Amino acid sequence: MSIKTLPSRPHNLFPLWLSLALALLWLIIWDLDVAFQDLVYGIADMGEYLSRYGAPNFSNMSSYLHLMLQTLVTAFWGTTLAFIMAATIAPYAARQLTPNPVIYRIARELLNFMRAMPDLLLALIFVSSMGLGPLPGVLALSVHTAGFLGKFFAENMERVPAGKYEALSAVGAGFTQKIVFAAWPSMLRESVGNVLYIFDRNVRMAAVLGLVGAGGIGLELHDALRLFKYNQASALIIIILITIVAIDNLSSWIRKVLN
Amino acid sequence: MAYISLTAVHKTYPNGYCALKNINLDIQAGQFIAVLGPSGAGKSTLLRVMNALDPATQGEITIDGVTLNKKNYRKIRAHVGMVFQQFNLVDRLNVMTNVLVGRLAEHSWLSSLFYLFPKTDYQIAEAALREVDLLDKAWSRADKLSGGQQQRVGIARALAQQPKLILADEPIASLDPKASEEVLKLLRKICSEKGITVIVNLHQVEYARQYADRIIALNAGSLVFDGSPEQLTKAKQAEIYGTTYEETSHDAELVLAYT
Amino acid sequence: MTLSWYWPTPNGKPPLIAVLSVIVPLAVLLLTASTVDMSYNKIFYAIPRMLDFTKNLWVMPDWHYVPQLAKKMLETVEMTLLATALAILLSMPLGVLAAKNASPHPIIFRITRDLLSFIRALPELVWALVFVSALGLGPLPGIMALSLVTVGFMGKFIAESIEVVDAKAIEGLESTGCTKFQSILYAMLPQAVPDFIGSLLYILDHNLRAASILGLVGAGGIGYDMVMSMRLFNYERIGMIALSIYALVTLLDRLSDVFRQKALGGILNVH
Repeated sequence: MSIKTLPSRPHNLFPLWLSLALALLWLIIWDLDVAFQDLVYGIADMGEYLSRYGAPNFSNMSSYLHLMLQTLVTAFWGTTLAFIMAATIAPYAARQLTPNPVIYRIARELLNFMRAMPDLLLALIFVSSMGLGPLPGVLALSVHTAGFLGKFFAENMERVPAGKYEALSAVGAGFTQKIVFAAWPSMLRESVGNVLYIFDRNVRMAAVLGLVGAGGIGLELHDALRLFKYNQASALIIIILITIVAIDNLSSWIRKVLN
Repeated sequence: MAYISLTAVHKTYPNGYCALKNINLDIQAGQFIAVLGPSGAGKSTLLRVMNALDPATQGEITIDGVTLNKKNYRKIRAHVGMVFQQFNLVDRLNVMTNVLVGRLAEHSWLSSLFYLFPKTDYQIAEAALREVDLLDKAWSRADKLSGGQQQRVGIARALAQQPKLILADEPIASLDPKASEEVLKLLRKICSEKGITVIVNLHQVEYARQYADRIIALNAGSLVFDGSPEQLTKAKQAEIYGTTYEETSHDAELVLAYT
Repeated sequence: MTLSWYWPTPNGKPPLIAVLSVIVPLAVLLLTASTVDMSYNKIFYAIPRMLDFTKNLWVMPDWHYVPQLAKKMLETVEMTLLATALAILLSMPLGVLAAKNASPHPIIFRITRDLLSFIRALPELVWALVFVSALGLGPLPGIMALSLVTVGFMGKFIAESIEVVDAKAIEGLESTGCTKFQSILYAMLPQAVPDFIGSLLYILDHNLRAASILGLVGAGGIGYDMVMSMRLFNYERIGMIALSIYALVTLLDRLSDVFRQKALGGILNVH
């Protein structure tokens, strides 16, 4: 077979996409007026800056720990409330379970809306309605992550083979019964993974919600940095770090055990 | 009066495909009926309009004096059992729970939410499991059973409904010959001993001849045969499956059995 | 006559793990209610205030604000794209170093792996705080914070993709004379691309959301405007900001869905 009879090579568009992407990035750098050279020149400064964090000051350890605990509890509350909301809405957003297409659309859009609102914005709104403290943080986290969890759950429910739902319809089961006997038993494993992932994420978010007065360790860190108390800041960062790593490992362990 | 009667029943899907054309059928209580026909003839649809999993688009269906309409589907389904080709058991749940699912129509959503059933239900389920000879597997997970066993659980679930009618949609299509015979023998026994009307979709003509009191055949959505097994001559059989008479020989029967 | 109700288990009682998974969280919630100031009163009395707030949102938008809104939203998008692009670039070499079968030395492997875990562990806002403190206000610290965390995530992802490459495939390629590095690359790429794209779309979504709040600490984007308008009760602006963020995030969501379908349909032609 000579070269002439080979089918023509499909046009490779990859270099085109790559050049477009690079052009776009160049445009962005120009528009943002980002001074990367400052960064490069400042590497030495960066070194000196980072060294200020070198001697972590744990003198306020007990109050830091209390704040970290508050952060964890905020995340836990947020995740559980999110779970309850998500588990309630999700079946209406699952094609095989939803009673009619209008409710389906509404449920889906509701979940999208809850996801799209940044938790920080929600926290701001709740703080202005309820005052400072961890409670607005809990509510902000629960509404926002209920959107995520609800979408995950709805997708899990849609992935269950249609036959299982049909068998339940065939015995005369109602909406709730289908959810309890067909949907949840079939999606348990993925759903637990989803909840763990969301809890993980909520711990991180709870740590920073304090910046808007919604409790937790974030505010303390912000103040420390603003007052140039780098040693205290580094102590706080270390505590946040250790907690998050611990939670990460806990989730991985739970996931392994369940498999 | 006939136990089941279909009058001028049509089923057209939203995409325009007409699965059932002008079906008129009267079925007496306690009969064992086999439905034959090539793939795509509408056998599944025929069964599924009877319990409204795929409601008829035209015509009237009456079961035990009650005409099917949008409002009474669940009530009708409570006493119509269905057995599926893919078994449609919930894998993660144990056999007993899968059988108890048959009792769900009698209970409200509240008790079902907690997976609770009354003692009487357990007695009914136990009797059903004894009938299909799977009492020893009552607490095994459904997915740990063989195909034949899973189908028998499906039958037990249907029995738990204390049905007057059992619809079996290609119950043996996924089973090996030995398991197939077990299942058909079981269905036949249930029909004879309990007086339950049984309608079975089959591909294997020989099984139809062996087990059925009455054979109904469909082709392209229309009723092409309705009579006793003796009346199903080779010529008629050829007509149903769209082959010519000369072609049908003993070997061709095997071929037909697998279409 | 009361019926006795049972669970479908051999002893009629619910399985232990089911009981625990309900009781333990409830217990934790009860014990920690005070830590989060959980109070029905607070929530109840806040409802009229929130309804008030929503009512106040239904005002004429502040049209004069639109140019600045657009500028800030654009900045947010640009931060996201730039940070993600940089992160992809940086995470490739780091991913190689963090892969057990590709790393030049076990010590380098360990250090890189732990470094990636470390940078991944802190939320973007915390990094942004640090970088703002070092570099001053503006989008640059925000971009750095986003990149860093993304590198942590992507680096791990790439390292894991490299590690699961079939050893036999690598051998096969090595036998034709490729270097170890080339053979890993060629053995891994074909199956890694769809996973990579899925990851990338997810990261873009995450980074966009993160970028929209970094402004809170002065690290660029719409976040600063968002906080300031809340503090000053600038209802017209809050509504506009919330709506733009909602629109943008939803747009990206839809685009990802479309792109996901196309990419999995094979329109991407790498070689």
